[in-house]
Amino acid sequence: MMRSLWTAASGMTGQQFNIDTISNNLSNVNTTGFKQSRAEFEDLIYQTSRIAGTPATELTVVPTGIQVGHGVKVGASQKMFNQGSLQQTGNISDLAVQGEGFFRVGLMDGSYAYTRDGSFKIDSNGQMVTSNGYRLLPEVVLPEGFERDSLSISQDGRITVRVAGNDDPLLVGQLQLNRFVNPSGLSSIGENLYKVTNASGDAITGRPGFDGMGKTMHKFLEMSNVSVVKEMVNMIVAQRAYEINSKAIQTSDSMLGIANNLKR
Amino acid sequence: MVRGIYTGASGMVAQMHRMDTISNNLANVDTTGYKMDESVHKAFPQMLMRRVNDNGLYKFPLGSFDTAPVVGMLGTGVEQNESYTIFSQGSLKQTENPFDLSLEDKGFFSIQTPRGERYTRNGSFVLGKEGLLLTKEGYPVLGENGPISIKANNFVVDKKGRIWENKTYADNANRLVSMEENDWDDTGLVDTLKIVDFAQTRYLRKQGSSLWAESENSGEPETFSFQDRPGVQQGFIEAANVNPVTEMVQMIEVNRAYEANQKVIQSEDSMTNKLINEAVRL
Repeated sequence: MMRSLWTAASGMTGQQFNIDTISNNLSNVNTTGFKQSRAEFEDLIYQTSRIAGTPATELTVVPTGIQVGHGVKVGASQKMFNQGSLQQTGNISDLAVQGEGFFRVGLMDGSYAYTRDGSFKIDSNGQMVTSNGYRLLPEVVLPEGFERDSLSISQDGRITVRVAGNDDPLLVGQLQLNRFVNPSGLSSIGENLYKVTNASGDAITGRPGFDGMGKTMHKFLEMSNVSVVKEMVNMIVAQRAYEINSKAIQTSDSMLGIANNLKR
Repeated sequence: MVRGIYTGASGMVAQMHRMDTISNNLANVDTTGYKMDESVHKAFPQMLMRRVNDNGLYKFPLGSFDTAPVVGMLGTGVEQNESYTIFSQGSLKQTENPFDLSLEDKGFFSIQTPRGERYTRNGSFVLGKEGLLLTKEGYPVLGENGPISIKANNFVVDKKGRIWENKTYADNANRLVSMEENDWDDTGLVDTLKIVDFAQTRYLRKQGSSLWAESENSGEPETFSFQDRPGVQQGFIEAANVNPVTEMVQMIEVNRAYEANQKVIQSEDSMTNKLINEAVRL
C-alpha cells in the first residue's frame, strides 16, 4: 500500500506523544519541584531506491540518488532542570534548593531516590520525612520536646533547634545535597522522585552552598518550572502538526480511492 | 497495447512517490534540524513518431530505413529522478538549555558513530555521565581535537563555535559547578566544534536519526576557514525548514494530478473498449 499513509501516521503518533508530554507538564504546573519535559523528534530511516554513484553506463554513474523517508520517531523526552521560582511559605519544615542539587530520600526497599520537592514533614519521632513518609537522608531527628518555631535551617544546611528549658540553639543535623553529571539521565518514578540510571552517573554528594551545590532556602518551596505560555504555544504547534498529518493521510486515501476507481 | 495507458500509469506512480516525500516532510514538521526533501521528476525518453500509413521502407543490401514522414515527438511518461534536499535555514527556537546548539546558515556538526563520522544539524545535545557532549542517541559530538569533554555550567560556546571553560573548575570531575559561582576568572579554550561543509551537499545521504552520511558525489567534508565559519547559537535549536503551506498546496496538486492521470487511463480504456466492441461488429 501507499508508504505515505504510514509515514503520515508516524507523524500523528509522534504529535500524540508530544501532546502527552505537554499535558503532563501542564497538569504538574503547580507541583512542587516539578521539572518540565520536552519531546524531541528524529527522522526515521530512509529507503534508498537508487544509490547515487552506481554505474549507469560504462562511462557514467548515476549522479543523483532517490531517498524516501519513512516518517518520524520520538528521539527523547528530555527533562529540563532549570530553576523553578521560589515561593515563601513560612512553614517551618519547607525547604527549597536555590541552585543545583537534589535531596536524597530512602525508599521502603532500602534504595535511594532523589527529589527537588522540599515540602518535608516532621513525623511523630521528630524525623524529617517527605509527604509520603520517606526519610530524608542523612537522617534528621529533632530532639524530644523541641520548640517548633525555633527550628532553623541555614543556607549551608545546618539544622538548629531550641529545646524547651535551654536558651542555646542545638545543632541537630547537617543537610546534604546530591548532584549528577547528567541530570537529564535520571529516571522519574513519580511522587516527585528520581532514580539514578546508567546515563545520569552516580550522585556526587556535598554540602549545600559548597562545591557547586545550591543553597537550601528555609521556609521556601520551589515551584514547578513549567512555563504555561510556552506549553500553550507547543500545544498549538502540536495540534496543527497533527492536523496536517491527518490531511496527508486523507490525501493518500483519496489517491487510493482514485486508483481503485480505475477499473469500473 | 495503447501507449497512453502506460504513460498515464507512470504519471500516477510518480505522483505517488511525490506524496511519499510530502508525507515525510509533514511527519517531520517538528523535527529539530530536519531539512525538507523535494521529489524531482523527469520525462522518459521521447520517441519519434512516423506516419504509419505510408509504407516507405527502403531496402538496401546492408539493411533498411524508414522513409515515412516524421509526424513529431511523443513522450512516454515520467519517472522519479531525484529526491532533492533543500538546505535552507530553519527558524531558531529559544530553549535556554546550554546544551542546545544551532547553526546559522550552512554547515554541519560532526558526530562520531560506530560506522564512522556522520553529520547533523540537530544540535540538541546532552552531557553524558563521563562528561562528553553527546547526541540524543549517545554518539559523541566532535571538536577539532576529537570528542568534547566539558562540565555542566562550566562552558560557553561563542558565535564562532569555540568552547570556553573556566579552568578553575575543569580538572576535578567530582567538583561540579553551579550557575552563580562561575564568574569566569580563568578562561581557557577547550576545543572548537568541528563544523564541516561539502562541495555538493545535495548528494549527501540521509540516514535517519537526523544524520547525514557523505557519499562519493558529495565530496570530502571540508572545514571552514575561521572567518567563514557559520554562526553557532547556544541555547537555541533549529526548527525544521518544512513550510506547511507549500506542502499543503503540493498535496492538493498531487491529488489532482493523480486524478487527471486516472482519467487519462480511463479514457484510453473506454476508447479501446469502443474499438474492440463497437467499431467493428463481427
